Amino acid sequence: MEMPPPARKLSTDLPLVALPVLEADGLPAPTTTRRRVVLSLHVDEHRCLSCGGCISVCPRMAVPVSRFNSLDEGILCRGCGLCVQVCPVEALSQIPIALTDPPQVPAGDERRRAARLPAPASDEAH
Amino acid sequence: MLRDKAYDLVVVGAGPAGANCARYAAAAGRHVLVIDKKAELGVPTECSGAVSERGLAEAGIQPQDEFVITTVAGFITYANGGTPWRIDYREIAGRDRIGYVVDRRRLDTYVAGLAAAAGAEVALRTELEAAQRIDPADPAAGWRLGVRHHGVPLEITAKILIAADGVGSRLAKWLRVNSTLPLHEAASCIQYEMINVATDHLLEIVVGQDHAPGGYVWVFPTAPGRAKVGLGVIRTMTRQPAGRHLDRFIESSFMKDRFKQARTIEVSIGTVPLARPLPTPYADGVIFIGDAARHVNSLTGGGIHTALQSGRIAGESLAALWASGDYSRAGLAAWAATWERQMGKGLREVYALKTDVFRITDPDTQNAEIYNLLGGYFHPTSAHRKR
Repeated sequence: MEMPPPARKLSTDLPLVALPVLEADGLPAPTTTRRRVVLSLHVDEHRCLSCGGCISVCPRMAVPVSRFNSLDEGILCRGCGLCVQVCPVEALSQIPIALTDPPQVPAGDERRRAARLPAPASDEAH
Repeated sequence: MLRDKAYDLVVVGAGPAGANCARYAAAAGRHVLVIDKKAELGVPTECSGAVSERGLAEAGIQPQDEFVITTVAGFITYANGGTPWRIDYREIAGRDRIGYVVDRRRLDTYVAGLAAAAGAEVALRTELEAAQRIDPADPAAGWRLGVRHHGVPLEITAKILIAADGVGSRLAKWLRVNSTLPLHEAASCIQYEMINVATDHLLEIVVGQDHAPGGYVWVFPTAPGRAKVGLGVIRTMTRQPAGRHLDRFIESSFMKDRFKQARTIEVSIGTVPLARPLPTPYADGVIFIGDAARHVNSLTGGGIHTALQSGRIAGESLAALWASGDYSRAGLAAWAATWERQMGKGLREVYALKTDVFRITDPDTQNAEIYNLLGGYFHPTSAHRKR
């Protein structure tokens, strides 16, 4: 009944929060460089049982689990790691990822708007 | 396709809170729609399914064979070292049952059925995608809602929106109600359904930092020879996730011999908010009930009857205040006052008890106090037993 340790592999097809550009060799850059390193959240879909605990503790509503249909606003994640801790089955892990191009983080009103509910798509309604 | 476009109440979440709210509001003549993004009711099960007889009765639910897995006649609370404290109501009070272990899939289906029978419309696989106030200047004007019903986007309106969307309430976050659960009040729970575990209609609870830091282990009876074995931990009090603690409990605790032949057939996980109820669980034209509003007994983690009951109170009081036409924050305060009187006070009291016991820093004293508190809580003389 011992669970294997969480997967630590890096690949571009993982569901990533910050949609970062990976280094050419796919490995995290050492933090001593001046390149920005972000903690990217990896969801192991084989372990996740969709309990939603991660969402309930996320102070920024950033957990990017598509099956919960949360807003796809990975930029909101600040890498606090509370979601990783609350997960009972170790489905979440944080992976340091080096950015060659820092993400465009919207400031002020823009960011607040991103967290808001989108307006209804009334033209599609029928 | 939904039957209508304009509703009095739209309830988001068809769990026990949402469905019971819809049932009582519809029975009082309101036009109610319950939506849930899931395709099936009650799954995934994030719950042990223990509920007291009184709790069900207070929520207006008669126990049915349909959803009762087994009856419960009492409790055994084990201390950190394994000392049992047995409270069997068959022996001390001559009662053969004080509660039930229920099948959440069937209970949720049953309550949704009661709601539909009362006239509410229940629409699964229907997700709220957008919400806008019809007139931001007029709090009673209601909401224009964008929902995706079976994949088809639809626009509907509601006078009052009821958020019963659970512990990770998205509606709360959208509406900027601060409902983020602090990590030290989020019980991270895992539960195995196991075969070859003998039980005797008693809810067994193991307290103590060695087994479940910040929470407790439960062994609840289900079918004969089967049990739900689970635990909840507070992650600020342990470095390991809940799953590791449960495996360790089963393999190496004082109870390990009992699980020698046991085999896991199902795993479920969940997060229980052990927080105080939201201070103001309402805003103009919207109220929060159930887990979304932290309507949970934060000492036992019990949330079925609190959800059902908060649903009943919401359904009844919203229907009662309908005549006034005031769905603003001020109008909804009447509901909040009723809820506070019937439930809030009790939930706040048990929250205070829980908070006090976890403030104790010496582990041995804390283990002993939790044992006394929980064991005593289940005793027939307990002042809090009725909650």
